[in-house]
Parts: sequence; C-alpha cells; structure tokens
Amino acid sequence: MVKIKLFGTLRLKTGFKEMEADISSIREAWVLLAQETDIPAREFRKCIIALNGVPCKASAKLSDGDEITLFSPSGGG
Amino acid sequence: MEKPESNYGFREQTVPVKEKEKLDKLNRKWFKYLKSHPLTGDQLPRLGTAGLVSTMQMRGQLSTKNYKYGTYEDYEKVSGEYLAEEYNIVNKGCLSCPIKCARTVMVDGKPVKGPELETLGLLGGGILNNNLEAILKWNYELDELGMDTISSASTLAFAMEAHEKGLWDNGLTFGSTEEISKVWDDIAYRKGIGDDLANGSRWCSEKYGGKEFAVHSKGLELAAYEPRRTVGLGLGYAVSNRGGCHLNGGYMVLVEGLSLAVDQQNPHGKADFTMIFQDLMEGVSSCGQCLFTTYAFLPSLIISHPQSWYTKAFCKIVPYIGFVLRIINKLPTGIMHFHIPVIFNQSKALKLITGMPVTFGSFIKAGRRGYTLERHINTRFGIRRKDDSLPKRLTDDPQIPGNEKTKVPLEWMKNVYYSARGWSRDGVPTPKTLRRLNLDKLDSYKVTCEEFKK
Ligand code: SF4
Repeated sequence: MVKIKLFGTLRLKTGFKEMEADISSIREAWVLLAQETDIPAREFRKCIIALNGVPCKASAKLSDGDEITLFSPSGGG
Repeated sequence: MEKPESNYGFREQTVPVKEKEKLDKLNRKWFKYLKSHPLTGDQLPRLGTAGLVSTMQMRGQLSTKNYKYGTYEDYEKVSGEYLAEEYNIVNKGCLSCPIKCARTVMVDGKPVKGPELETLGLLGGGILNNNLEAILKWNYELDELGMDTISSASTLAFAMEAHEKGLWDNGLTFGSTEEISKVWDDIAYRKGIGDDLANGSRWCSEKYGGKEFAVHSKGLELAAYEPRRTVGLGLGYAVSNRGGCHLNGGYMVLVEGLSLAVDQQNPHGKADFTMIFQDLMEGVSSCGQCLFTTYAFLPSLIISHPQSWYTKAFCKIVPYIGFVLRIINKLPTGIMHFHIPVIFNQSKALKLITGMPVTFGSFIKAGRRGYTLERHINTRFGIRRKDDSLPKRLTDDPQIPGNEKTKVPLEWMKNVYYSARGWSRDGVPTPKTLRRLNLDKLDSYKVTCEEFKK
C-alpha cells in the first residue's frame, strides 16, 4: 500500500487530505485523485511531488510502504 | 451606506494623480493578472504565507530546533493547511488589495490576526512545539505587546538550546511550552530572564556563550527559512542592510524551492540574482507598494507547470546565467528605457501617478541607489565584511551530516556579491560605484557618526 497526501490550495478546494492505495506509479495516483475528487487529473499533474519527503520526478516507481505527497504551487511570504 | 459623522480629525483630501484614466486602465489589467496568478490569486488569498510550511518541509528548509534541522516531524500540525481547515474564520487584508493575504482566527473568543509562516515555523518546529492553538495565542500576545514574533521566537529558541547545553540556567526547554506567555510578558516588562532575552540572541550569546548557534546577522534574527538549504538566501541574510532579513536579503528562496526548483545548494549565479532582486524589492518598497505584488513577476506559466520541460529547463539554467545578469547589472540602466508589461507594472504605475519619467531601468536604479545608500551609511557606522556573517552552525556544519553541500559557502558568495555590487573586498562601496549612482556628492555632507550621535 502507498500513502497519498495532498497539500496546498488543491487540498482546500477538494477537501482531500490523504488515503492509502495499491498503486505503483505516480500516474496512477493522479487518476485516483481525480476519481476521489471533482478535479480533473491534469490539475494534479501540475503538482510538485515528493516521495517519502524528498522531491522526486513524475516517473518515480512506487513500492509498498511508500508515501507520496503532492503540493500545488506555492509562493512567498 | 451612511457617511460617518467625523473624519476622526483628518481633513479629507484627494491624492492628485497625473494620468488618472490611464492609471485606472492599468490597475484593472494589473488586478486581473494578480487574481489569475497562482501565487497572488490562489496561494496567498487561500492559505496566506502560512501555506509555505509544508513546501519548506519538503525542501528541508523548515528551521527546526533552533536551526539544527531543516525538517520537523510534526509539521502538519502547524501547517497553513491545518490552520485554514481548523482555525481560520475569514481571509482579510489591506484596504483595496486584491490579494488579501491575512488570516483571522479566534483567540479567547475574539477575532484576531492569524500567524504568518515565519511565526508558525519559528514557534512551531523552531522550539519543537506542535500545538497550533498555542501559536495563535502567542502571536496575538506578541502583537499586543508590540514585539516582533521572529526575533522573540528565535531568541527563545537560542535560550532553550543554551539551557540544554548547560550554558545558561534559565529553565526553558524545547517542547515545553506552558510558561511561554509569561516569558513574553517578562521580556516586555524586563523581569527575570526576560531582562536578558529582551536584548536578543546576539547579546545573550555574548553574555552566556553559544555564539555558534545564536542565529542572527548583524544582531537581527533570521526568518524561518533554513539557509543551509537555500544558499542564495543565506547570502541575502548575511549581506542584508538591516540584518538577517529575508526580504531585504533578496528572498532567493522564492526560486530556490518555494515556487521554483532552482538547485538550492548550487551557489553559482545566486549573488547576481540576489542583487537584482534586492534592488527591485527596494524600489517596490520605497514607492509604497506591497512586496507580495512582486511574486507575480515570475510568469504564471512556469509557476503553474512545475513538471513541464520549460520550467525544468529554466530552473536548470539559472545558476549558469549569473554572468548575463552581471553584464545587465553593469550596463547603464538608461538602456532599459521601457516597462515590462503584464508581469511588472510597478514602474508604469509610478510614472502615471507622479508624472515622473520612470522606466523599468530608472526604477531599478532607484532601488539600487537606495540599497547602496543604506550600505554607505552602514559602512560609516563601521559595518564591514566581517559583519556580513552567519553563525557557524549555518556556514560550517552541514545540515545533512556528511553532505558538505548543505551549508552556506558564505565567504565565496560574498566575494562574488561584492564584485557584482561594485564594493571593495571589505564590503565598502567604491568611489566609482558611488559616482555611477550619483551618491558621491553625499560625502560633502560632513555628518560623521559621532556628530550624528550627539
Ligand atoms: S497589500 Fe500585501 S500585505 Fe496587504 S493584504 Fe495585500 S498582499 Fe497582503
């Protein structure tokens, strides 16, 4: 199982925080998130992704016990 | 709506605008752009600056336990998302601003201003506190006492570490937060340990020891961005005219992790970018505009598509185009006799309001003159290279043990920065630089520091 977490304004818009799913790629996570929310998958494709807390590429392979985090773009303060 | 009976003693006056119609037209376009931009139209209005906590955690930039670490395991409990979901009651902001970045939360049954990212970071992971409700309360108390949350929180974290290391028996420990409200009061009224804390972390480290972990520059404590994982901002904190200020320091973290993923550890090109960001922000601040409007300077297209090839390519080339900026920075600003449409409206707005012949070039020059003038005054007060410093923790100890890149290569970056600015190796603006910026005549005002102090 892989844990998927969402941060940033997409989290506020969708109300989605986290879930566990049996997936092996980030592509599958985008599709799953689109199903779970009313937001199309392309919006999630714009997110910055971290695998186990470290930024990663969208092509990263996932294995059991991993945690991926998606962040919608953020700015300054 | 009923008109208020009095103007609270103020006389009603209209600020004259040189070209009102053109200004209105520009403002409409500008507002529209700000509202459509992912940072000024989405992140800041919805999450405020607090929304950065989670991104900083991912980038290893969330100062934790007095800047010892760059990540905090309980960051979610003090994040902007959690604040928005559980505590924020309304988004507010300054009059007429389309961004509205401020939060309002309830404290003791009263609606009060919510915390910014710096406060969440430094009073959260900074002192190992995961109680967001406590931060809301402290933020309010510090505001009421007129104390800066960054300096207060950072000095507190220093005191906690000094206590932990046995240097200063003050009873303050990381993670133990019951008595903190009393500490703020004690600082404000200079009672007990508050009498020492009121002098800030530099002073306390000189009295009790621990200079290597007193996190300040020129006596001003740093914001919540851990500079070992944003080395450009590390340089900015050190050379900033008013001490360790992230905004006066050029705010390189915006492209080194927050909005863009420019290599956080690569020092190349950062000095030249820092200089131009500082000058731009100086110009924006001095004409009375909000710095947050400058975030829209990063084109919407690259911010909203971080996974695209063009955004990745842009991030990759930044460290290698410092020399191009260096050439631009050295050219007479007169050649930038234009405005930058859509993304940077400040110079044109200033022109339409005042009627002065402002262009993008003269706007940058005004910022550069301001920045250099401040430095010139600082050097008269004795500020030199040695003062553009950071504590040893940030320059000598890698954040990730064994990874030498995760510290600030400050001395090397300072050399590049001084040369970009036209300052001597000791950090003093050269006569030629002052002449180029029409600041050389100032020396005919023979006001020395000693006379000033009288
Ligand atoms: S003017 Fe600046 S500080 Fe004020 S609400 Fe707008 S963005 Fe925030």
